[in-house]
Amino acid sequence: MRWSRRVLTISGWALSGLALLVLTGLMLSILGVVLVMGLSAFSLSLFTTVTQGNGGGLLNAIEGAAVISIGAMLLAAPIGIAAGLYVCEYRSTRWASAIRFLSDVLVGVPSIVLGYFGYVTMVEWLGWGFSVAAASIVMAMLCMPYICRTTELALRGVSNDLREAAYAIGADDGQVILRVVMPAALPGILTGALLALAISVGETAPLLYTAGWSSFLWDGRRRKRRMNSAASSVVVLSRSRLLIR
Amino acid sequence: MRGGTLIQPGANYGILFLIVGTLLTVVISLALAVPAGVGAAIFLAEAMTGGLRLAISIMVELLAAIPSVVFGLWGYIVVIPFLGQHVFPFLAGALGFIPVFAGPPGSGYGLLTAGFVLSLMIVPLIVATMRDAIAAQPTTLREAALGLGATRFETTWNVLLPGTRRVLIGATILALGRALGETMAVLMVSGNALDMLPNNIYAPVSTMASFIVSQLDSALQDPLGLAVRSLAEIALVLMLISVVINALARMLLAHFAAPAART
Repeated sequence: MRWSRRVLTISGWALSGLALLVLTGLMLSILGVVLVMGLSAFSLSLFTTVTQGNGGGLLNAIEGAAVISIGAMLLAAPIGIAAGLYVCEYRSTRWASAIRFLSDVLVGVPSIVLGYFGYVTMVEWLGWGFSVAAASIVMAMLCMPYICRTTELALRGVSNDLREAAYAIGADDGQVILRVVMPAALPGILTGALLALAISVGETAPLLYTAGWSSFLWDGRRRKRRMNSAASSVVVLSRSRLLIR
Repeated sequence: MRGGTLIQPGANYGILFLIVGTLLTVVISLALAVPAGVGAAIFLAEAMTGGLRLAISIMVELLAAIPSVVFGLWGYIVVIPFLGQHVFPFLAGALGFIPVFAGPPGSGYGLLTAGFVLSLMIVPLIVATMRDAIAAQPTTLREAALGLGATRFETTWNVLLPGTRRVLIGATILALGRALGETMAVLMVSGNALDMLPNNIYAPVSTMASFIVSQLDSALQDPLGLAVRSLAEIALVLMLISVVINALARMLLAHFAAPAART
């Protein structure tokens, strides 16, 4: 074997192995930093008291994240699942490809643009102020395309034999979809909804523009009431230091 | 006066510095993430087997599940002090003869830091897509190349990789679209420059997405509606760029995947 080939092989393996090593190392560094710094400040009062200035607990942030995400799911799950159903079961129609295209476009829109849209339309124009309603609606817009896509994929996984058998014993469209296809695809649909929930819990930028932030617990008002979310707490608490730069 | 605001003579406004900042951070992040991602994918797909491969695959894909503020916080706590105090002065000294690398090395907040943190956020997408694409190449190709006396790395590099070119392009453009829209992590590490173009790779920058968040206060205290509308303009430009890029990527990927998906 010529030395140039030997050098290519050895250096190729070395470089690609190094790339993988560096990536895993950085990953461990992120996990390590979050765990070490987080655990040193960990206590039960973190979950039972609200934020006061730069101290206190995170109860308001955790509650805010839960309220906004649940609100978003209540809006996004029915629409997303119904859209996914239509796109899969009526896939040959023109509407189905239009919906699929639009949901792909929505995935491509940066989250901050959605957040700013919510700010301009709901917070400013409709006069809701920073609110649970605005935040949940924007989060629902963010999650909907993911739910639609995973629902479609889950329904596609259901074998056509099941549908044909149901039609053969006299079921109509609604019975086939609701009683036969949906139960079979339920695990996949739930996985997709959970994935969307994870996305919405971790999202920050749009919430700064729609939910605002506050140190108080929710009083049940859907409008004109600032909310805080766990992810935006990270930003807001480090904000004073950011602005110095 | 009605419906307007007094502008200082000689002042002019524009979003050129934002577009430049956005494109430069994204280019740097791709320049770091694509080679690293392809290298890692090659090693994962061809050199590792069994439990270790699964464990490291899960590890790299976990990167994709970390919320972007956590990347930002990590960048803020770990990356900025490290790069600013050790790496940037060293780079400025060692590569100073190349204009963009010349000092001053700055504080650590800047273009290269933002590009580095962004590259970590998009690399899982590239690794996962390329690992699957390499593994999906036909076994006959692999056997033929090995039978001709090629080493395993030569087989991967010269025979299998060219077959995945279109997947790589599609994944890169998808990653590009994601990097364009990233807000929080960039906001926390880029230095948030106002009205200046970066003069070297360590200079502070702002991206379109992060600028919208950093100007939250101007949007709140805005009796004339000027800031709200200018920010809407930035959001519009950003949305158009990312939608076009995403559409391009999906067309490329669909074109590639179509024969396989129809079976």
